[in-house]
Amino acid sequence: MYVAVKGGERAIENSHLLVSEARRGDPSIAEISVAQIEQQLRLAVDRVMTEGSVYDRELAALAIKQAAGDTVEAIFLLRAYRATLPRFGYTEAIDTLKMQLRRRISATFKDLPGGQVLGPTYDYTQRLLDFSLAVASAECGEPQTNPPPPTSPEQEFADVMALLGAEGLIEAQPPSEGDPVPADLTRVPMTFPASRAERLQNLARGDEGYLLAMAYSTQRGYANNHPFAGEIRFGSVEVEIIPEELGFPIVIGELEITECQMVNQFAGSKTVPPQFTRGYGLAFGHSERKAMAMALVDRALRAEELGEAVVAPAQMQEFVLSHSDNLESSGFVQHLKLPHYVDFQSELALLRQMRASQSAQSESSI
Amino acid sequence: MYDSTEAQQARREWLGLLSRAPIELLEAWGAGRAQEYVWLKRPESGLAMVRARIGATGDRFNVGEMTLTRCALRMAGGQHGVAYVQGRSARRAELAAIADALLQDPNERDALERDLLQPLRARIAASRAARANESHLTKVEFLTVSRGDE
Amino acid sequence: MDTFSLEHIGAGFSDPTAASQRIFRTSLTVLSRPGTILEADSDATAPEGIGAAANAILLALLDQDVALYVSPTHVAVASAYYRFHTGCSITSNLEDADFVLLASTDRIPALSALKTGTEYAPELSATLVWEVAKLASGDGLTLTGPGIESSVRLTATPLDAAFLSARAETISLLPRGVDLFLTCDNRVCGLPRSTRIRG
Repeated sequence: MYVAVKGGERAIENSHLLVSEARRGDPSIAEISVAQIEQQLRLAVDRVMTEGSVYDRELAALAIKQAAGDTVEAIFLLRAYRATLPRFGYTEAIDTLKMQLRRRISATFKDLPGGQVLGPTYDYTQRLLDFSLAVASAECGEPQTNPPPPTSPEQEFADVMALLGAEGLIEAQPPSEGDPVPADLTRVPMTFPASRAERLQNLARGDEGYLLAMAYSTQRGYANNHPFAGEIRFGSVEVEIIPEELGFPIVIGELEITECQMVNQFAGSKTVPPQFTRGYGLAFGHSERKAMAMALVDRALRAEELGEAVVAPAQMQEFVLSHSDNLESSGFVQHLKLPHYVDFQSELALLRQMRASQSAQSESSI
Repeated sequence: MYDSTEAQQARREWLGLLSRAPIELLEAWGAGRAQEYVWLKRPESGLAMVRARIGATGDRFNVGEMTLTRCALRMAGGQHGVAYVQGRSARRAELAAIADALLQDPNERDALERDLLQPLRARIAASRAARANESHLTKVEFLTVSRGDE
Repeated sequence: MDTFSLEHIGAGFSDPTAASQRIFRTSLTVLSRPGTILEADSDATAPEGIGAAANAILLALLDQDVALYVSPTHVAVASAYYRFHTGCSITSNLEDADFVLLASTDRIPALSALKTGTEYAPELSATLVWEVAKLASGDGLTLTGPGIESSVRLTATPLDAAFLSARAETISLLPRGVDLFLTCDNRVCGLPRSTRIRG
């Protein structure tokens, strides 16, 4: 029997009011502004931009405010807004080697041209709660000088991959013949096996927590992996497009990005001498954990290409890529909250029927 | 339309500067200027898919999108101005397109160079220098620790 | 890259969102009520020789994911206009076209050359926007099929017998096929793939 259920409009409207009130919190406390979120919760903004897959700090900050700090909900909001915007085209490939670096570290070479530049990082903090932050303060303290000062503000930073590449000790990474146009998952749904370009697009917008767990599993032995952080870079890069009416590239803005080049276990064959292999991660903003996890998962997903046995979850394309998107996973898990009254009634009826026939059988067998 | 690569290079540079011009700077320049133009394409906000290369040098892949506002107009004098600016500000795009059109007019060029492009160049250079100096302060200076005569 | 100049490009919709929504609604109505003729005006400045309705429909429906074949009559003046305003690409092969713009003076194309989609994705078919010399209700052709209660009469010149018999053959392809917009100045009529047309 199908019973149409109506009603609940007033309850829903009142729930909207309550969620607004809950978002605002105690009205005697100053309301947080979008600009404050953008400036002071920058890493949350970066995560929402990366997984929301839209670089726009203001929109991401607004989404965080509206979602009361729930980043997965904010990512949903940003993706929904994105769907209302027209697509103008594709940018030229950004040149991450020309990034203006704010941070660059390598775990494989101590001394390399440009040096180890720590930039703003939590790596060397002691993770002790800083109660001085509990009191509003405008002072940050002055940095100590670090002689000698740079002769030129623009420094040359060596590319770690190029250093290894010069000796042929790491796989080369030139574009394929003809520099193929990559498939775009926002236009054509992914099919398996997916190209590395499609996999990276999927991972770039994938959930950080999920990728982190996948990456961690490879380190704990659920894939053949022995990674080194060859280079991690955070900085800003110019982005260009070629408008058709102009026919030449123009800079349309700058993006802050985080890039990770993982150096992994070597592989070789009869034709190729043993050499290090690579995994790559790239994310909007300062999203280091995400970029590193992405690079590890990228490498794990190359198992088939590199002739390795596919034995662990992180190496399985369909498993990894089908579950990485938190808009999809959150939606499917949370849809269970929706009324399933009729489905459940049918299961209930079936269960009763099974029990009835079972007890009838046991009676007749006596 | 582009008589020489030199003219194209110049336009390429100023379009790049204008795309990053903060609204205050554009408004300060554009305030009170009554420009006559017709729209070929009114400011529209949309998305560009950002591409990068696998491992920085390999095949291209799509990273994610960025917001972008574009427009095109034709001045009473006949020059066309276009704008492609990051973000969603229609007003920024409009002022940038007007500036692009006027920069193609030899009579206007010097004034715009002085009032708009030079301040923009200085601003971008200053912010790059500030970031570079900041980063330099966190550069690690390794010291070799003598371990005696092992 | 193949570039174009803004020199001779007229204005697009002054309010792209509202105009696109309105024209989309009109397109949907004429396709779901075959034979109905509606006005499809806009404030865009159409390229020389292209009717207001054909122009509005193309501006509303094209985007960067589709390829447009432009009639040899209009190709010189119209290609840059649609590329600039919609981001579509231009193709010179009918076989590759998602949209086809035809002038009333063009030779009637072989329908078999156009994309009809696949069973799995019938939407990957061509849509023909055809500026005809005469478009009026009554007389001429008899239309039947989904969206038509019994039958509707339509006068559309130059839809000739050869075209109609080629068109009749595509009916057996359903759900594959080709959708048609017939336009005349600022008026449009839709002939979806499912409509049967008798001379």
